[in-house]
Amino acid sequence: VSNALKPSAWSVPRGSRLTAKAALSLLLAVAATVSAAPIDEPIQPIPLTLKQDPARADIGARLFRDPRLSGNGRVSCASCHDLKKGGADGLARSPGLNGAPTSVNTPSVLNAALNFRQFWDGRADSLEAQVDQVVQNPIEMGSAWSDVVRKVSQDPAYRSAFASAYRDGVTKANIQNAIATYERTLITPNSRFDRYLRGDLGALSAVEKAGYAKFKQYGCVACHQGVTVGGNMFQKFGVMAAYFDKRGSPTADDLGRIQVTRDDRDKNVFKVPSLRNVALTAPYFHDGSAKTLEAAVDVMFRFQLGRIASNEDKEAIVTFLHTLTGELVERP
Amino acid sequence: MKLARPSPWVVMAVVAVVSTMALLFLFAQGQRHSESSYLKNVTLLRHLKQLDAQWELSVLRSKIGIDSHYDPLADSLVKVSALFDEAESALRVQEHDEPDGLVSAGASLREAFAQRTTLIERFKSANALLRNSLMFLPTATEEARQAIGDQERPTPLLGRVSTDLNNLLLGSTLYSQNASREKVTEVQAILDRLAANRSLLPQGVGERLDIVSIHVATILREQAAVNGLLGDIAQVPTAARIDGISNALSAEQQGATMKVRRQREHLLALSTLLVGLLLYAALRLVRGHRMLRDSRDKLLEYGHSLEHKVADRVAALRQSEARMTQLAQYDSLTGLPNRNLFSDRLAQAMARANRDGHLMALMFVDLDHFKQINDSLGHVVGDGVLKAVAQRLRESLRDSDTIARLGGDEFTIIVEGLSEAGNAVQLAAKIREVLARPLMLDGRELVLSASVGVALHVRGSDDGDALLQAADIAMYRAKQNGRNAHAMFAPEMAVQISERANMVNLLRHALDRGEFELHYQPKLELDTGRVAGVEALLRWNSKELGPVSPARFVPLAEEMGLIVPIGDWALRTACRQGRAWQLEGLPPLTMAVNLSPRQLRDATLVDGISGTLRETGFSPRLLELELTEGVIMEDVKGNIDTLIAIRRLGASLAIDDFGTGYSSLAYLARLPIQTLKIDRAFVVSMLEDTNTMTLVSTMVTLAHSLSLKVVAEGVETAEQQRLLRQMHCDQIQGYHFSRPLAADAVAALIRQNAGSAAAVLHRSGALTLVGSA
Repeated sequence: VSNALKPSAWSVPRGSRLTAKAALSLLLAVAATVSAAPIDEPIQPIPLTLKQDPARADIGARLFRDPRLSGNGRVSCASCHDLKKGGADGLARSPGLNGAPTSVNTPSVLNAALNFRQFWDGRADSLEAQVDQVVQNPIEMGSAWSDVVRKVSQDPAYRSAFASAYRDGVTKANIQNAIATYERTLITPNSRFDRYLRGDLGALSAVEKAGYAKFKQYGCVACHQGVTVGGNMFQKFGVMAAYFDKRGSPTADDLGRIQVTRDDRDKNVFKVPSLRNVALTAPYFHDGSAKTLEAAVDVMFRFQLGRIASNEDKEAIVTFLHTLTGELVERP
Repeated sequence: MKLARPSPWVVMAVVAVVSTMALLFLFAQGQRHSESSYLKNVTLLRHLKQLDAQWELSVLRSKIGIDSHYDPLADSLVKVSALFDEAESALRVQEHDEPDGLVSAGASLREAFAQRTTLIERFKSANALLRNSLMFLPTATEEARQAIGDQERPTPLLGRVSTDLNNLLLGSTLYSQNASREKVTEVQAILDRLAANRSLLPQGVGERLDIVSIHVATILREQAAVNGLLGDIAQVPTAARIDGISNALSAEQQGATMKVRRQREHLLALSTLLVGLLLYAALRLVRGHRMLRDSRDKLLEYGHSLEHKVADRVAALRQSEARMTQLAQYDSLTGLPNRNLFSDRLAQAMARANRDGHLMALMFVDLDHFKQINDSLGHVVGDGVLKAVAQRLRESLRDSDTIARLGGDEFTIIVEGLSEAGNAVQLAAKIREVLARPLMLDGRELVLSASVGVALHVRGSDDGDALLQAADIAMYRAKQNGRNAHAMFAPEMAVQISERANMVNLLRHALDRGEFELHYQPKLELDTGRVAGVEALLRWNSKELGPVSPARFVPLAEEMGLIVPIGDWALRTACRQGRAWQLEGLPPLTMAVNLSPRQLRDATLVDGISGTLRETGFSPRLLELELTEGVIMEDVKGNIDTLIAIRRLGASLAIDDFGTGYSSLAYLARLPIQTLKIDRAFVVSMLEDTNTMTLVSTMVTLAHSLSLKVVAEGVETAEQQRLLRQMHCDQIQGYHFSRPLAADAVAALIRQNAGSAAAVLHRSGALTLVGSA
């Protein structure tokens, strides 16, 4: 942990291209520093704040909601990542710029900065890379970066804002960085569970505490752990039973990480999703197949844990999962 | 072609520029091998290696269960990745000797990191499953056994299954703690047995048994996976790759260090060279400064010497000026005031005398016969005499008296503050007396005399020239008075002076106007009583002055240089007359003609005589030229050649006025003379003074002993004639026998004498001849 305080981990010079790794390093360093204090639990509280460049975050906030980033000017980042809907849109598949559904369920943008990889298959190492792909994705936003840069450059407000926030003004990299910077402000600390973790034992009810105990007892916490309660590892979907056989109609997107690594062992392997604000982000799973939290918990028990839980236990776990809903910071 | 040697400054400038460029080059080279960047890179790599080790450690912590979540692993991954990127970009920024090697090393490290990342991700997945199943297996086993226990009828199969379940739990747990192939086989065998009996078991037991089996299978699978992954993760050569890069960097740094050392050596050499240059330049500057200082010193020295020179020159100029003044105002020979200063002093003295009523006198001193001393003894002696005179005058006079030399042998003395006129005369006498003292000069003794004229200042007069003229006149009078005398100026002297001036004027024209004539005074040969010859005597019958005595005008003519043409005329006239007498039939008569000193010095004298003789046809043997003793003795050596030349013409020579000069017998013997004429002064006083008579007698005897003829002049009485005859004087001349006669009267006398010569001879006593005039 002490190594996290090494200057090399902190010294991200202003104005230089902020890489996702560096940002994540900063973030996790803070998280690790903060996590030193709470009781030793597999789940760690979200840091209260992640310091970001306000000017850049401000630009990013505008870009995040700017449909000009899409090819036809119809959709923006916020179209799918509605902050009022838990950072997603509540749909199993989101309509893209032309209304066509996206291939997988939209993950929440909230606390996305705390994920160790982006996308279900973890193909993006950083938020910037995630932005890069989404903007160009023909179904999602369908833009060419040259067009995006041109459009943004033509906006005097953007031009002056970029000119003051970035040495080289409006560029593809700066646009990506601005959006990513904004997204790094979209964390949700101070959930009741985090308060409990920080020592406020009264923050959780007895049932919720029991739910947390079950969560651990049933082995959920084997994957859903850490600050984001997931989001820091990959796991095969259908460990104890063949999920996709049971669900039926498998698609290419069900192949998961194998599409990135081309390794058979990564077939049906996905990033373990964060359970932060999970109560707000139904439907669940990459295919949006679980409409409710209870259904999702059932699927997990059957295909991932290979166990049979009582209804009381499952309800307790769901009750616990609701305590993971935090407060949106949305400020640098 | 010989190249000009370049200036040391140019050489130094070139070397300095080259050195500076080399220094800059070395500096630029040095920048490329910054040790700090190397240290930074090495530190980065070391840090990376530490992170890598921690990453690996985190894997173990997760495996063992120390870490209950994977955030540390994810954190390590992020940090390792970030640091790796930093190190990579840092290494890429610098230039390296073998960039390809580093790039490939970096690429392989990146590959290793990626490999490890993948392995760890698999580990995380597998480990999660393993932990989950291990954690749940006891519960699952217990639930299965409960299901067996719930059966109403226990069967042996159920009992075996229950045992198998216990063995499964035990075997799986043991396997997870100490994985061995035997355990896997054992557990797998139980699983297979349970699976084979699955259909024989009741449904409730079978379902529970399935759950146990799947978790055991998961444990077996994932445990093997985790074990394999842990081995694989440990074998990923990240640390070795980092070390490789570090070693490469270290080797490069060593090379760079060597390079830097070489550069430092070069720098040292260059610096030494530059310092040397600097020292050389400084030395040159110092030397230049010293040279400047020396030059300045020399200049100062030169300036000083110049000042001295200028001062000397100024002093010399002053001296020169003083000397000029001296020359202008003082006589260079004697140091006495010259005529200029004298005039000033005289004017001042007269002014003082007029103002104060003092008596003042001016003396004019002129050495007697100085010209003869100068001519006979040379100018050196003459100058010595003048200096001595000046010295004596200074010594005998007061300092207040002004002694001046006007030129030649003329000295003037201004005497002021006289109480009476007589004092001036006494002073003049004293001066004469002082100057008359014998003088030793150049090894010989000289006896000088001076004539002194004294003029008294007339009260109220300021005419210096008049006073000087008065003194001059008085001096002249003293000279006239026979020299070695002094005279006080009297107004009548001025008249004489003016007469003299008038006479000079007349004399200049007398020859042209034919106012001269010759009278001839016969000379009686005492043995035969016969007229032996005549002496031609010059007479001047001035129309204005009447007859003028030769004693008056001859010195004047001599002084004025008129005597030469007059002498020529006299010689020619005498020769012509002598020739006329011969032609008249008169007995041969010697014709004596006087030669003046100036004539004797005339270079054309001999030629003139010769020409005159040829012209007149007069026999040289009858011509006798008379010279005064003083004239001959002034310059015996210079005159003797002339005398010999005259003798060679056939003429004879006589010494006139013998006894008045300073003739030495030795010279007398050597001179080509035939006749001595005894001065009239001896003859006149001969009768009264026995000494004189003895002297005359001695002179006659002496002359005879030198085979010279003796003529006595100024014989005016019979007694004198008788005595001279007794002395065997050869001839007499004087009024007693005949005064000078005109030419025709001479002829008459000769004719008469020729007849009565015997009678005359026999007649004793004086013979009085009556002159024709």
